[in-house]
Amino acid sequence: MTEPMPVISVRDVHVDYPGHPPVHAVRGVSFDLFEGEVVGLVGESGCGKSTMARVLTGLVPRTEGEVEFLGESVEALGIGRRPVELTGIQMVFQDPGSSLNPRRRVGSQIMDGLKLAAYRERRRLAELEDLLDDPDLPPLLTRTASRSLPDQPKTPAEWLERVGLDAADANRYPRSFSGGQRQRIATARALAAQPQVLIGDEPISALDASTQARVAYLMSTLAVSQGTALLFISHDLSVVRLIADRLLVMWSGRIVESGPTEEVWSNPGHPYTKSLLAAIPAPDGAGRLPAMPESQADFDAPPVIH
Amino acid sequence: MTRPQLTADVPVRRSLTRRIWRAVPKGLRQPLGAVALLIALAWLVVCAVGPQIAPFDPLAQDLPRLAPPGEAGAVLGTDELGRDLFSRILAGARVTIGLALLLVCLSMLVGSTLGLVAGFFGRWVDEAIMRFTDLVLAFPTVILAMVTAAALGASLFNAVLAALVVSWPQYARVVRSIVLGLRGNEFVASGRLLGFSAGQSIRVDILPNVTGPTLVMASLDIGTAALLLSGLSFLGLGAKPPTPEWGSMVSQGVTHLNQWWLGVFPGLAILTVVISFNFIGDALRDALDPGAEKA
Repeated sequence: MTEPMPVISVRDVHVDYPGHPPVHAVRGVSFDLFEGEVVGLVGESGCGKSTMARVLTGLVPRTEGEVEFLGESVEALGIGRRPVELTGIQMVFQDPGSSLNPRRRVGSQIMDGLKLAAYRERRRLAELEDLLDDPDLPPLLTRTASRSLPDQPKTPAEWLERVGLDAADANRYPRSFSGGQRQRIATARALAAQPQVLIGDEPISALDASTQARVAYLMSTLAVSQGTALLFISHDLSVVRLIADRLLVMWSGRIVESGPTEEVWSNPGHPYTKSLLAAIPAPDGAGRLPAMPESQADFDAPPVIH
Repeated sequence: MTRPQLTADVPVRRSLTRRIWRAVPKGLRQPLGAVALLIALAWLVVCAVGPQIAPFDPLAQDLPRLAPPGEAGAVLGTDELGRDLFSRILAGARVTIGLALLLVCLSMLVGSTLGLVAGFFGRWVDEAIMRFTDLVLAFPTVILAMVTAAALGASLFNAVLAALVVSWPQYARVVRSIVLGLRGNEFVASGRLLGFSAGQSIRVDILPNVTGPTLVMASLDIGTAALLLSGLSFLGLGAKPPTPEWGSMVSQGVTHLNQWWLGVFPGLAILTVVISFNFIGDALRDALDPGAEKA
């Protein structure tokens, strides 16, 4: 049996932000993301999680290393249009206040995703037509592959219902929705494009505790239901644990521990993961924060566990 | 004890007039704002029909010279050539306000386009446009306009061109700073990820968020534009005699200080236009501010 092909493959990625001295935000990260799986990327703020997310979408250029999406190298987004091959990677951002255009009705914003999906589908059909003339066997995955599953919502109103809002809300503006509702709409917009990969860049960190788990759960169920791989970034292990199949623990620009969620949760190997788990608030009012134990805090060569 | 009910369960059906009234920006529903709106509307009507409703021909020199207000049937008096001042103010509205509106529209168009391009594309495009803007801003406004108007030759259209040279940079600066702020927004990034081209991004995500503030700025600028054009006419670089233009009428008044009506009435006309459009600009700003509470 052949190894499954990762949708995203990240190899030894480094990102430096210029400055005096330059900031090494990401220092050699490698991982794979497979179709339909939910991977949680956790770590404290400033550890390079968001930079990693932006590198995957091309919003931030990488200094070194390679990011491949279905065999296509992901290059930094310039001033021109994003190559349609790469639009299979979508993202839900952190700030519900600015993730939607305040001057457009939410229905029209979700329509952007649907239009992209339709365009990608047309491209795929055209590619298939070309392949029919090709004597060689067609590849299993085409780069513009779109999974237009029969039960997928076809209109913004249907998408709004899918994310638990009212169909009539399509005519309203973002300001009339709460933070949690806006993140649902942003999720609908991104998933309407039928991407192969959805990246949630701390999509729940600005929401209140009662909404966090619900939005996270909604994102993962919807992504999995359409076969989209979800990379869910958060600093909140307790929520990520509920949805992720696999965990990547990031500290100081590196992935220091990775493995199946339950394994990492029940048997953390890395001292930072242990302190992260220990910091999950218990209702005792002590309010502890995660920190690498001082004896282990070597920023240049932290211990790594796989 | 039951709590008092704060909201009615039954939807209230408002009458049409009330709904129209509520659509008017809040600032214009205040007494001062309403007066400003009425004055501005009145001036716009005068622009349209001014020469038709004027009691005398604004160019005819058949009344007694320098007659004070009320004499010889001239409500606001006559000028040194025996022309009715009231008729000239009515006829001059079209020239003064019309050209001010034209100037503001042109400056908004030129300045906003350059600001949009500079802010969105950044890097060398931004540098080139902004250094050119700084170059224009480095000159004193009136002097640069005067030099340009003098170089182009005295005419009303050239005065507008000269005023345009000095008035677009402020739009470019403001629009650029708004676009710079918007460009970092996540919805713009999310649009780019969904495959928007630069043009689409500008049209869909940037432009609608820039229009409000720019329109407000333009409405606040109409008064300044009228003053600048009047100033050029006052210096003899705009309207040529016998065209009735408020600025040149004020400049004539300066030479006849004993006949106060020659300068005061056209001056008052300029003042009312400036103030009324300023009020409308303020009201527009409040109405278009997305953070402002909707009445």
